[in-house]
Amino acid sequence: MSVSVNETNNVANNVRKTSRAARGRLTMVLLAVVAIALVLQFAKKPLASAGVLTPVQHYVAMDFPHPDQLPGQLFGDAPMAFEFRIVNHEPNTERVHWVVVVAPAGHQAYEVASGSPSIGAGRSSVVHVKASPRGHWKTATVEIEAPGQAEAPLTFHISELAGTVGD
Amino acid sequence: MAIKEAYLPRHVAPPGRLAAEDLPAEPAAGLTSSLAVLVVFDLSLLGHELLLCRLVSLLAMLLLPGMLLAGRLRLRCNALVLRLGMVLGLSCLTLMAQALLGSWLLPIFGVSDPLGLVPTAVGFNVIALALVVACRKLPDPVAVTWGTTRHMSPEVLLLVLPVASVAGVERLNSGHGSLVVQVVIWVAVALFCLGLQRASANEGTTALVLLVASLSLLYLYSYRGGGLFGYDIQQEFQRFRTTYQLQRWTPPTNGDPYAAMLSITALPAALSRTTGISGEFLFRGLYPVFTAYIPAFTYSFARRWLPGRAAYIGASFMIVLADFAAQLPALARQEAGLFFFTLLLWTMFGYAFGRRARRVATVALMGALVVSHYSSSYVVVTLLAATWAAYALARLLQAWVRRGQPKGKPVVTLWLVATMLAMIVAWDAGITHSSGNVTKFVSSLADNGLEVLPNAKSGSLLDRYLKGNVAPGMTPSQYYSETEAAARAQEPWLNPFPKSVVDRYPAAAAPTEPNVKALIPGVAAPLSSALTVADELFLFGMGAGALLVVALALGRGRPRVPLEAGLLAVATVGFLAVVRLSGTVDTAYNSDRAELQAAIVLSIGLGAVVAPLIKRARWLAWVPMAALAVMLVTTIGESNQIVGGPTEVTTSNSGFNYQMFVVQPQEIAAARWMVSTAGDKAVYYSDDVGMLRIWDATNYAELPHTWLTPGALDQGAWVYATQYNVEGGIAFGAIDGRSVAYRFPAAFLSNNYNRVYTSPGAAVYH
Repeated sequence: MSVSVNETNNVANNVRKTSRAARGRLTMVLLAVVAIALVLQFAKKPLASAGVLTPVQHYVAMDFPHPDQLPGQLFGDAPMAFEFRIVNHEPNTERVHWVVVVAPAGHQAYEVASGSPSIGAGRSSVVHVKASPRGHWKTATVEIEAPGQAEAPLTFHISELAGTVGD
Repeated sequence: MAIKEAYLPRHVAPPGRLAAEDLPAEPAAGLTSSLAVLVVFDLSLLGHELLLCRLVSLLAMLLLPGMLLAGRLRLRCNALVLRLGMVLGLSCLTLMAQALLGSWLLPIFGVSDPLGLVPTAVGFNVIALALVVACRKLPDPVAVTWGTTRHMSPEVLLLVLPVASVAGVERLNSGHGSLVVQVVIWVAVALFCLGLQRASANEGTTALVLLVASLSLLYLYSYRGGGLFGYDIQQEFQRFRTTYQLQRWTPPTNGDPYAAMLSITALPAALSRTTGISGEFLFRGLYPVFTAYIPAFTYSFARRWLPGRAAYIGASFMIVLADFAAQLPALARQEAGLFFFTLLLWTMFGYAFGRRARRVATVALMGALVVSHYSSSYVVVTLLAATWAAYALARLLQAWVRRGQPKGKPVVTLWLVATMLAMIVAWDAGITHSSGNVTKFVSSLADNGLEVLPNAKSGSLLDRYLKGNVAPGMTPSQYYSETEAAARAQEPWLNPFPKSVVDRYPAAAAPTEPNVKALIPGVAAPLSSALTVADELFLFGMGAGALLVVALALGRGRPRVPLEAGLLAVATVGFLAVVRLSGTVDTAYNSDRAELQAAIVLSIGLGAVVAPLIKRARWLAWVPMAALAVMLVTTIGESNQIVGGPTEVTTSNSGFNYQMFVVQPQEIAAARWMVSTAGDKAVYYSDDVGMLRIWDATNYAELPHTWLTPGALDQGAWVYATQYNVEGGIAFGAIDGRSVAYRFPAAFLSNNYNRVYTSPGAAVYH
């Protein structure tokens, strides 16, 4: 089959046009990717102020590092000892005030210990508590509160056994 | 011989205008551009700290193998958007094959991290170079892909809409209100409607419209909240995380079907390790693109035989289904599975490949489907087998009646069906031992039979049909007593609280869900009924259309849709009817998802029904389109802004769906603390949705106990409480397929357990 010079030229022109179109389109895609990448990487502040970047949530959490070692029973007026941890998820150093409150069943709750450690951003602090509950009661709830913070208190339940240490 | 333009498929260039792939080969140019992309990929790997490099390497991985493979198979498609979709599918297919072979072979040679950066990058280079060599005598694959159409159409600007969707959702996530989201929703709906106008004119533009509208709606869900949104995706992500950490895919030793699917394990792990793009971005950003391509390819599939507007309506139905935008983004495996299924149909029944290349592409896509999603592949092989059998019978009858050999060769051949079946058996039974779902289904079928409409006890025939497979709700008191009885009967290890303690904490109703005040009151109930009717009418239209197609194909005239495609549609109707009516099958394969998969094939049924109406009067196309638009607005929850109803997660930071599926960072931190403190052997409890957070945050893969009621709890339990538990006072439960919202038993937990972890959005009791 013979192909005329004109047809050959047309095909060659088509090839050139297609290559040009492809190059143009690839360049546009690349430019779009560059623009998106630069905006996302280097324009975080304006994006955050426009509400387009979800801000990191800041809060303080508390936990018992060894939940199975919490005192469950107390002998008479023996002191109770336990530890808890405060984790600072805030962006700055925080002074977190904590209070240990004993709430005996049927009686008025009262504070037995407190403190205000300064905790760096993203850091945690383990607090060791040794305190003696007062009065006579059968069961009580011990609450570790962080006044000014939004979370519910850490809690554990204790019951008092008759007698004193050494019985 | 002159070919009449009208008889050519739409995506093949008519005579006089050369298609890009028809251009003469320019070997040097082909090698140069492909090698240039490969060099850019390799260089981008050196700058992982820069987001730009990560994005470029991701794009190269997702496009280069597909462009080369499409070039080698001489893909004929002038619609750029569809061509890119096929390129994406072929690339993912190649990457899964590479990850699989690498995970098997490289450890033999002492490479312990076959999915790590260096092994994957080297393997990628080797495969790309091999494909470049294979394409050396063909037209430049990169130029063919990007130069398919000469002019850049302004419609490309529509791609801004999905970006606006992400921006709107992020604004909502950070508490800035829903204005941008609402604008995106209405623009997407308008676009969805206006697509009908162009449906007859330009296949590429119409496919782009469907892609953009779908993707914008999908991102409204996938980007919601700070974590993974929805149900199931957490377990998928866990399997991805395990593969990512191991840097190697291994067949699961416990028959876990999730770990057996390369689409959610090896593929994202290889992409993430190599490009530095996070797995979370891939699950939230890339997988919805797979889903968004489904309507676009479905339209092209139906357009093969039907007029543009009819094909558009046929393909649009799936977008308005509730599972499409709200559920699929949480089912990454099914997103990949359905994407490959659509590509498979498009390849099998289209003109995009020559005969030999079509066979190769079909088998490759079948393989990709089998390793991507098990139940989608079971459905496909069943449908193909039924189609093959029915068409073989029909051809025999035709030959007998007309006393001659039937014209044309079947698309669905016995060897194709056998090949796919062999792949499924080899993969699910032989390699991954993950066919537990099938054996469970078979034993359930043997024990219970089909269980036709298991919940249809009374009411009219229509009522029983509509509600027969819908599990009834229950009261909190029923839930308390049933979970208590079930826990004590089924869990011999349980150390429950004494009855005297449990009885002090009776069940209480959940706080009511906040409602949007109706702009037009009194319309919500009639609208809901009307939409149910419309949904059933569309389903009926699909079924009737499938039968109509077969009847016309068997008749004497020239059929619009060939008999074989019609029989495939009828087989799909049969499958859908069985899932819809049988409780046993519905439990094995969710009927809503079945409807979604069926809608891909039945687009030709629906299109065939509306085509004669549109032929009579073009404006009639707007009647079903208007119904579809209203259904879409309702599905997305936007109709509640007008007619009133519960607040929706797409537009509000409140409501049940928001509470259930939008994950807070405090919840993630609490789950991590609990599992790291208590270990894998502890007895964990959460409500029915709280467990998603545990899976999302940790590698704990067991199912936590979800009967969070006083009578069902173990005294030594670790109880995980979410933000909606501790702050909203609500919990979600389910038993025997029935679900309930009830008041979180806070007083019981506080009085009988220690609160051992606390933060403003979560707590752990022990």
